[in-house]
Amino acid sequence: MGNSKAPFLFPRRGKDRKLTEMIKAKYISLIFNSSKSSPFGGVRGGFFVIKTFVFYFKQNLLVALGVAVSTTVLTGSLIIGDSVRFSLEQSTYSRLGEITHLVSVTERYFRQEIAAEIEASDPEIKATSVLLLEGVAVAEGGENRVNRVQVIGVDTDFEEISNTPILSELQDNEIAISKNLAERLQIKEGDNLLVRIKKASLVPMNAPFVSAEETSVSLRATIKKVVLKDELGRFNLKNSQTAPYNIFISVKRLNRLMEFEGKANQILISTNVETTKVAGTVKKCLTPADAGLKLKNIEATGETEISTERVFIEEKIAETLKKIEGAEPILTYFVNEIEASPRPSEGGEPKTRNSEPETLNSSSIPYSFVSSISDQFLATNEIILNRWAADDLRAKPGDSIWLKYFEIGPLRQLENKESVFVLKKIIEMNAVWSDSTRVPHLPGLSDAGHCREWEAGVPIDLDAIREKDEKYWDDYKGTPKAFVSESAALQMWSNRFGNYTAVRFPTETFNEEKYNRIFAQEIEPADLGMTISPIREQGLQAAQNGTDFSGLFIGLSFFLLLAGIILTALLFRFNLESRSSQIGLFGALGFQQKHVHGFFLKEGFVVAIFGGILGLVVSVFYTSLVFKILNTLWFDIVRTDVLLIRIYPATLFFGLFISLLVSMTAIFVSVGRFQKQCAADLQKQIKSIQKPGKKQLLNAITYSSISMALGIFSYQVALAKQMEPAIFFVSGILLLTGLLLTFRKNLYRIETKKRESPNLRALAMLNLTRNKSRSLTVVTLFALGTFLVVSTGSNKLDLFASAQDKASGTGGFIYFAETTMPVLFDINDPAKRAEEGILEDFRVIQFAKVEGDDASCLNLNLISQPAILGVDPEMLKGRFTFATKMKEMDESDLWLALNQTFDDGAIPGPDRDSVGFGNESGRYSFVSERIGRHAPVKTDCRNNTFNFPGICYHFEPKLPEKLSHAQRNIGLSG
Amino acid sequence: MLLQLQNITKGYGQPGTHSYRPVLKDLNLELTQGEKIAIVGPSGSGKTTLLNLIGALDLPETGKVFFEGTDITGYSKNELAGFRNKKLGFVFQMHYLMPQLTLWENVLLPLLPQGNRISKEQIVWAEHLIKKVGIWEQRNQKPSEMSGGECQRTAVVRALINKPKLILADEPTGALDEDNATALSELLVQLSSDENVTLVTVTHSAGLAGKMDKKFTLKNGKL
Repeated sequence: MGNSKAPFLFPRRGKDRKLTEMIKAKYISLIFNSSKSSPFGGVRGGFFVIKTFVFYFKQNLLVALGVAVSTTVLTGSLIIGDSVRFSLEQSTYSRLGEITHLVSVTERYFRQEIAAEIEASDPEIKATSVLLLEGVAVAEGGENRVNRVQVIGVDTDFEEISNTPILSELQDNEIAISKNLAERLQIKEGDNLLVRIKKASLVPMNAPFVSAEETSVSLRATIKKVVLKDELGRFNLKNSQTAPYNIFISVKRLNRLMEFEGKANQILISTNVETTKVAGTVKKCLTPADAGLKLKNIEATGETEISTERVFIEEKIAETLKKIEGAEPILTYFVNEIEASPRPSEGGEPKTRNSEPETLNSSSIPYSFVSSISDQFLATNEIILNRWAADDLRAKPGDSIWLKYFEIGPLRQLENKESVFVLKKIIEMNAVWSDSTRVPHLPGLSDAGHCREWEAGVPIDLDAIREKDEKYWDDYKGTPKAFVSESAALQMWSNRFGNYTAVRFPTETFNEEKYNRIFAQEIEPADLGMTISPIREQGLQAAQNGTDFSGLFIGLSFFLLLAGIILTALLFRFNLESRSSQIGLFGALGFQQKHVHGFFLKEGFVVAIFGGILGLVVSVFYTSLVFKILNTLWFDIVRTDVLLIRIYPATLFFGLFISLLVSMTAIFVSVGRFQKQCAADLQKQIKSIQKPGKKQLLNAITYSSISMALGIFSYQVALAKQMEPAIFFVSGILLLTGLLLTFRKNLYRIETKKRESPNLRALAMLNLTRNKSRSLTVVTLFALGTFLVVSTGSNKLDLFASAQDKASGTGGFIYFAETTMPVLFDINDPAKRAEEGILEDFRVIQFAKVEGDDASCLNLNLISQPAILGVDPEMLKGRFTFATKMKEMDESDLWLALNQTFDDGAIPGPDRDSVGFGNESGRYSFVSERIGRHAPVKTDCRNNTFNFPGICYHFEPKLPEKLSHAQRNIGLSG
Repeated sequence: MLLQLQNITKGYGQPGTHSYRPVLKDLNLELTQGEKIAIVGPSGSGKTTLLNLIGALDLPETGKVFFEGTDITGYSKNELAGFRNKKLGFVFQMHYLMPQLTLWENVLLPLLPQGNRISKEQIVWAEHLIKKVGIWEQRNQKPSEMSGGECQRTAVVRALINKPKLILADEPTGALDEDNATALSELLVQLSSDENVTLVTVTHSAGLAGKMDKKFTLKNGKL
């Protein structure tokens, strides 16, 4: 360091001596004079500190690098956290555009016009209806295919709310697609695209007697536009940073494809008003038509009928309709067979099958509708036949009549049921109940020209259909052939989709206005499965409370952070040791300890500031690099390429502040410990000896650490059911501490050990003790590094290590597959499998799924609407492992406990946050980290209908990379 | 009487244990203002220990150290620091100049703890001393740019900058060649005479010891 370079130094050879002296005097007074306001004591050592810093720059640079490492790790992690949060927030804006609220239904549809009515009702609300469906996009003749594509039926209102001018005037054969879909399929504007869209139905797909033949609709269309991010190409109503594959299509066209008219399933709202006000407006605009209710005048009977396009009227709506004066609910069901026995039943009670089945000379009618009438006309064991049926069966009052029918379970599994009644009377074909309109509209059945064309969603034995049955269909259509009491009908045929197929009223007393009023009063949007949510606010909250990347990166870089701190302390200590004579000199020259302390702390502060600023600069580059990697190489992990760097000054300040605080603490401790040596020792560079008290304390810590570590290890091996990572780390750190202290103790032992003759080994060992703190620090750094590497490796779960173990995170399954199109049959059924051309031998457990946010670790957002899986608890018995259970659950196998119902009607569901498929802990838990915040998870199943069946098939050790999709859902009794 | 050591005992190691090694045993010493003494003795006899006790860098196990009639063994750490700064000047075998500071800055360093502005008089005094020892031309040089003799002369000036009553010199010529050692010996004696400063020097050098008013031999812990 040459003086000549420093501007504030004395002139070497001043020509003007007087001037030189003046400058010198000023210099001294400015730099050397003390100031009592100095934070480090009475001595103003700024000049001394700066000169020292510059002089010992190489040593200080090393210390500064230690600080820089800490600052880089800490600040870089904080910047990454901020940036991910910011990017997720931006992702929320880019996927929602101007949308603030969402009115959504699952597997049902409302009128498109409701959006316009909402706008008219409240001028502060802008609304548009969309029909959102799922599909498969196929290009290049099937070579390129993308599943789970969002097909969005939009109109010009969407353009207004999305603030994009590109989606209007999409012609029937035109679509717009998102950029990611274009890239994935390698297609461009003007190309043709084949889209298979999951067939939407106004009737729930699993409802009885609904045909499942047509599960998709195909569309070949020209790509009019590739929609970019700024044009709402990333439109997504789920909280996820992953851009979905989107296809925009005219809502009219989509309606036509679905054989709908004017239907939608989402209302997108842009407004500044509160959610409660939005909900109020939506409720105000709801009409019976939004519930799928239809009003029909039955002239033949002088009645007005309310039926539903969903076939079965839901319980809440039926109860509401029954409140209207004169209501007569009807439940009409399709039975497989009506059978009669000519012998009268004994004592008025119908014969049972098991009593004398072989003696019965029975006759039967295949495939008929049976309707309910009021209990006042029939007892629960009585039945009425129409003349045609009675004649066909040669039945007379008092005969036993059997009704055979299907009860439809999950996956359309059919259970044969039968009930026996006593024939009370026979009505003529022109009687009031002999009315074909009592049969609800069943697509595929009601509109069939002949019985042989029936698509009833259940197996039909066409051979059993006689000519006279065809004739009946021609003459009377579905006119019920038999009538049972309402109570008996409910007992036999009420199902999860509803209890009645229609409610009728005498036309002369029916008041439509009153009907609308009662509907408006009694029916809440939630009763129609409608959820009204502040989607933007939820999205932003999900973004802000999502995966904590700051914590994640601090955790991942913890060793570096710790190493930086240790290095800072170590290097500063070395720096001090090399200058110990200066500390001694200060003492000799009469500097108080606080002055000396102040000098070194100031110097340390300058070093820390230098290192900190260096660290800040590096952290920005480091973050840029991490983001570049996240957006490219780690795309599969973060599932987005739009992560943006966001640097808040407060974050930089906070990172610098914390780093300085930690570094200064390390420096403070180093200086303090060094100064404990007396001035004379320091001046002579004599090392202090270890005090006996400290030795005893360290011995106690050593032995207790090792004992506790061994104790915990023994507990883990002998008593604990499984390895707990937290306990592993605690015991590991205790053992590490104990062993490091043992090493330290041995350093002192080696130093004082008597040696008869010197040798190379002894010399090497003595070298270790020459600077014990240095030796210990180096060993500590290596030990920490090794510990972290080993512990990370030990706790890494091998996907295939216990893949066949049913209790493991895979549940013993090898594959997890998810379909875009619903599979409405049991794949384990050999007949169905043969029918579908599935020749491989494997076993499948199928789940029903209600779509929701992706709850896997791939979604960086907080999950607010998790997907729901409907499971058959019996099928999962003994699979996976539960960590905890709710007190209320009394089953030994908690899957079976899913069948349990609590007093409040809720059922338990495993926390999807802990549900993993072969990753992480691979355990199920009833304690939610994200949803329940350590509250037991109960999911009310009453509003959940599982109409999104999927298949989940396993058992071939392939495709591990595909396993992470569609995992982590709430399992419910299906 | 400037300095009085009464029945000083000092050793190393834990008293009462086998490791304890007594160095000074019931030692007494009296010095008057302006007196120049040399303490000689074999290596390990406790010369430096004695000097550290006089210089309040260390405390005796028993006995008292009176300076100008006041017992300094009862001083607090801060009082001791003030005492060392104002009353004492140290010259060590190694010069212990701050390598990052120039000669001029090293000389002024002992003025910092006083907390006041450095006065013109102090600057003039420093200049006077530096010129007197013949290193004025090197005043802007750092220790690495000076010879050993110049450094040691700087250390002498630094010891005198606060106009101390007592200079403690521990082997001040031990690291110098013969010529420089002789020159520094003369300088020390001359300066202490000129400024009427008491000089206590620990030395193996017969030449230096011979220039002192008195010579004490430390043997078996006693003078």
